[in-house]
Amino acid sequence: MGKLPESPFEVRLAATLFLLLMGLANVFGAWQVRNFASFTPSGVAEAFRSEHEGHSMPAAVSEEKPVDPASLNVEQHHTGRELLVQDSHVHIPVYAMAAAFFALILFGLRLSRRTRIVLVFAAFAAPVLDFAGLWGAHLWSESGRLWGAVAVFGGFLMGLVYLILLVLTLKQCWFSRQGEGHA
Amino acid sequence: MRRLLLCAALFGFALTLDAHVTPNVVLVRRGDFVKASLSGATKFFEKTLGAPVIAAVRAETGWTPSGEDAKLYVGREDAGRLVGSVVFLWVPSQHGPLSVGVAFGPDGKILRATVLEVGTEPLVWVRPLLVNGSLGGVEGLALSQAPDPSRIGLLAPGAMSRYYAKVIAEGIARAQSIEKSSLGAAKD
Repeated sequence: MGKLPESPFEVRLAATLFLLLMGLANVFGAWQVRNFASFTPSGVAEAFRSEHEGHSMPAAVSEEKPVDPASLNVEQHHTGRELLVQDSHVHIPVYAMAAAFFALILFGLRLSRRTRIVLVFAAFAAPVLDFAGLWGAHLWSESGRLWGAVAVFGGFLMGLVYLILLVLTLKQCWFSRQGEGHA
Repeated sequence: MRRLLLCAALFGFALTLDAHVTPNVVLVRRGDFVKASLSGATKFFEKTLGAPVIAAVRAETGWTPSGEDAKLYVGREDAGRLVGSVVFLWVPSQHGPLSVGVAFGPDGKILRATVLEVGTEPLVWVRPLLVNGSLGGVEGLALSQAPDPSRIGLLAPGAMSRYYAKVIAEGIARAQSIEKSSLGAAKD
């Protein structure tokens, strides 16, 4: 525990480059969210609303109204249940691996035991909150904004853990390695 | 100041993490498909299916169309004569849903069918099934004729392309059921 700052150059390099690359991945992740989801609770609620909810009962008879075919070309990205299932099964394991790698680096930093526990817990709780929010918004659209807020909070929590980890790693591994004792 | 800027940049990184769902690749846009498939039409209408039609589709296929699926796009000439109609629907697969579009003539025969949107992963298996942007082997099928997966993308090799041919055939069968039920309701 806490020996990463005194590790050989290549070990510190690997940990730092991993975190920087994760940062780059986050930039594209944010772009993706902006394109196809939302950073706001109401936007998440709308994007993940179940197609069977939010609609009134089908009319007794079929109805026809004029439409401009060009209006159909406007992309309306909506996440159906099958896509949410598929993405949960892909993203949650990746999230778990990211949290596990974050935890490994955390174990190498000079931190109090309590701080390590809080950060490890936050790293694993964030994806749970994120996907709980997405599924909540999908299953219970009447409280979609609340679930959207849970999802956004989960995403930002993971970002916060990443930020803390990156700052501590850069500081301890490269800028203040000399003369500091272990916590 | 430099530290402040660094902190701001890092915080920007931190705010970027949020779960997103993998978007699909758009092969054909819906409006373009409607106009190209119903080329003689000058007026277009969106037809929302009524409860009896949805019930008939469920009874025939065991599948309930979602709000988005329970729509038809109808093309008519100036005089009001029906040129044809288009059904769009999402079909689930192991690698995420794909969007299928099927255009029907006034007699219910398939004019054209295609895959409009598909995920990045199955794209490599679905693309070989398309010839000039359309699915071969289904054109001219009457409503009573179920699509044969083995005839979709005859030249596409590989088990995964064949799997997707089955998924697509299932989607086309559902579209036929919507069209059949809709035409049946119109006659009643």
